[in-house]
Amino acid sequence: MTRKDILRRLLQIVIVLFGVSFFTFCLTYLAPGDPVRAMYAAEGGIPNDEVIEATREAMGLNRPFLAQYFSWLNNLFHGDFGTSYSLSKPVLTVLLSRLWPTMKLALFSMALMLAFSVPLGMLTAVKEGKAIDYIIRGLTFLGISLPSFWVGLMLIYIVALKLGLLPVMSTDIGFQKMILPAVTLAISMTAVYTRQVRTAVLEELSQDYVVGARARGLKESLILWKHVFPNSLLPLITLLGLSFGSLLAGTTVVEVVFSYPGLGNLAVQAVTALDYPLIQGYVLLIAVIYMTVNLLVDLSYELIDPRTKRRGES
Amino acid sequence: MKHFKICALICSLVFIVTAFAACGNSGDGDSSAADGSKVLVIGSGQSAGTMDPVQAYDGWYAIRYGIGQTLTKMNDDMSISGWLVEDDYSANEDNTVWTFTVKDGVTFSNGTPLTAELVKASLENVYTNGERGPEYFTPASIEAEGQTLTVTLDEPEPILPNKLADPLFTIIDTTVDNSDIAESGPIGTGPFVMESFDSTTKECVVVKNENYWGGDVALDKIDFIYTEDQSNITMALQSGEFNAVYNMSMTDIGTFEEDDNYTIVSNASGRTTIGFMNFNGALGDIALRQAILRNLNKEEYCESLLNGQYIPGVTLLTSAADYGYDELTDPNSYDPEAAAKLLDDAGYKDTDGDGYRETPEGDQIDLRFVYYTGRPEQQIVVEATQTDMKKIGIKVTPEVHDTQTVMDMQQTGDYDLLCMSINMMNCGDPENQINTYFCEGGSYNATGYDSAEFNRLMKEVHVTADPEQRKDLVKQAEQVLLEDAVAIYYCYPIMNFVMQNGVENVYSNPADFYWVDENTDINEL
Repeated sequence: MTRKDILRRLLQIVIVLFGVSFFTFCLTYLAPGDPVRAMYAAEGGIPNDEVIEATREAMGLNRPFLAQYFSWLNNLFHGDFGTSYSLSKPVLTVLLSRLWPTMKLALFSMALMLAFSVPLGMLTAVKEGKAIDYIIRGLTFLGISLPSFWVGLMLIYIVALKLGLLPVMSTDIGFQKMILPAVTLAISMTAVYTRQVRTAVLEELSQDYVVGARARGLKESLILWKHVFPNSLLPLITLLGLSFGSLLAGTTVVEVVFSYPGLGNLAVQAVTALDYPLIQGYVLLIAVIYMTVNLLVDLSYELIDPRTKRRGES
Repeated sequence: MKHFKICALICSLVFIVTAFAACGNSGDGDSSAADGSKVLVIGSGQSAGTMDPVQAYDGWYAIRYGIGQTLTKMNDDMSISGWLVEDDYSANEDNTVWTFTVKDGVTFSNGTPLTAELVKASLENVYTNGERGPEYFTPASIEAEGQTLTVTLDEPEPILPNKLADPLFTIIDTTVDNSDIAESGPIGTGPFVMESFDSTTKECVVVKNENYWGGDVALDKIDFIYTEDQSNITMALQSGEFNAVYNMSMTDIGTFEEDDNYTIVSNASGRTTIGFMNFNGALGDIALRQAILRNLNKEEYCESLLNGQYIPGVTLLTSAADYGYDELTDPNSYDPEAAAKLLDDAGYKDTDGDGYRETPEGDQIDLRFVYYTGRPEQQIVVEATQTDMKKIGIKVTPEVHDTQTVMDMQQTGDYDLLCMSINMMNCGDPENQINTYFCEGGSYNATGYDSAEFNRLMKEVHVTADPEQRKDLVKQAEQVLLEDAVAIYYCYPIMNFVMQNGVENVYSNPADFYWVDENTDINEL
């Protein structure tokens, strides 16, 4: 990717973020309820109508839509995401306090997923058409089909309640309390990735260079790990990037099932609390992370496979 | 192949070792921590928004968590006695001047002795930093001399000692920096001191107050964990993560009743589960309100849907208190045919054939029914209401929010119907709660209900000292509410605490805010 390409991508990110910010602001503007009353109610009491009107004026809520939007945008550029109605705290502070738990959960579940899906995917590719291939592929179908909330509840029931090995509630981010939510997330991802690894490895195994290597008498394990595996990585890297971004925004169900204090749980709280500034901040933060991760993934292609750079240049 | 097998083996081993190294489920729910300290974990679907006692109803948690105490205390028989003051409090003839003696030897958790001067400062803080004080009483002056506290009022306050038992009047040390009280909590006089409060997860940890004036505190720490997910609460108690659970749901309590490893304490509470009707909308029409009331089979809800754990509601005030449950007449008792006829007669007809009636003016009706899941009965009665209303062609749409948001919406009037569980007898007398929720100007009365007759009766209650006379006036006010079809009184909950055997002195009582004290303990069996 040339410097020009990177700049173009950064510009795209800015445009998309601009669109996201506009739509999230529209959400707040059009949402039912009075933000001033909601703010006062969260603080413990509703003052009289004059005070409410004065506050509305002071907050600039009587100004035209676009004026309010650009004022809000200006605050965003200065790092001010507003104040959460329900928590009476700066939105950015609240979001950042929940970002690390969710990142930890996402990274842990991805590590689990890779630990299982890479060996299983390669095994099914190498043993294509054998019993083990069918069994593992059958299990991956099951893993993809089971909804994560059900898997989570079953894990709680069996592992936490019946076997007593792990806690039911994941109310803090201690390692023990992270295991069940991470396993729940990892199960469906492992199912998907095992199939992806299998497909990628099978494709590489059918390449001429593999036939040539075999003809030269190279060991099968050497061919598999030194030649086939690195070549299979590229499509996986793309998927990993997308998955990480999706995980940050997609752990919601699992976080709610396990009462895990992450971004997803916070987003649900914000929705049930009609906390629009927090919802806006959450959407923006996730959009930024998602696009940044994808840019980094694209940049990493050239490091992993220099051929992509040459292709790009030609 | 050799490398492949080694790699697969290593990956699997790493995972298995990591997983099992972490297993064993130590920590939460263990009565003894690694250092030998005694720790109790209590799970609840209720929590504070902040730890500042003067904000909204957050004072309840300062009392529930054993951090704070009030001047007076409500007993199990709903009578009042001194807590931080002696029992010798008295008033002048017209109940405008009350004198209290602050107990000697009481200290805040930071070691500061409690004096009448500090009590005065704490009471004044309710009015300077909170909104709800005037709903209870407005002092003309508060005087302090030594341990004697004198409260002077412009109008008679015959039940001032009752009102001072409300957690809003939790006594806190105002001489310390309280700028971060919402998160760091107050310095109180209770057996526990707040260690941490996470305003986003609502988890609160309290530790032993080493300076507690009432004697030794048995426990070293209590962890109050909040979740509105009833199934998680149940499983966490079964797995031993929680040692005790407040207000176990009616669908799960049977499991624990049959299990000898658990103890249940329960009591008829002063609570009423109320469906508030907002007059600022379609429900401004009394015919529609009456039809709704007549169409609800509350006996069936309590018997079948709530497993007999609730008493069907008739009056505003619970059957557990002597306020007319058996005496008052409900003009809108269950009669679904009469409900449908009322709507027909009032001109509510389904003109567009969608199965739901429109108003006599032809407007669509879709009643937003707001509720929260922190109390297990709410979703059940709300959904039962939706089903029953559909039978007579009234569209009701349930809308779930968290507890704090529902309380906020109640203040702003952002609902058509709103389900709320309210302890009407939290001071041993219902006057304040009735004023708060039904009188003109009440901080949680955004329904638009404003009855001259009702307001007159409650004003009379306010200045009447004779208990029997007060009771009679309250009953009359309740009858006005029934005649005006103001709200749905669904049921009266039976409150409970379910705990592992070995947990001692965790309390369920009519006040509903004295959960723990210095004698609360946990012992290995």
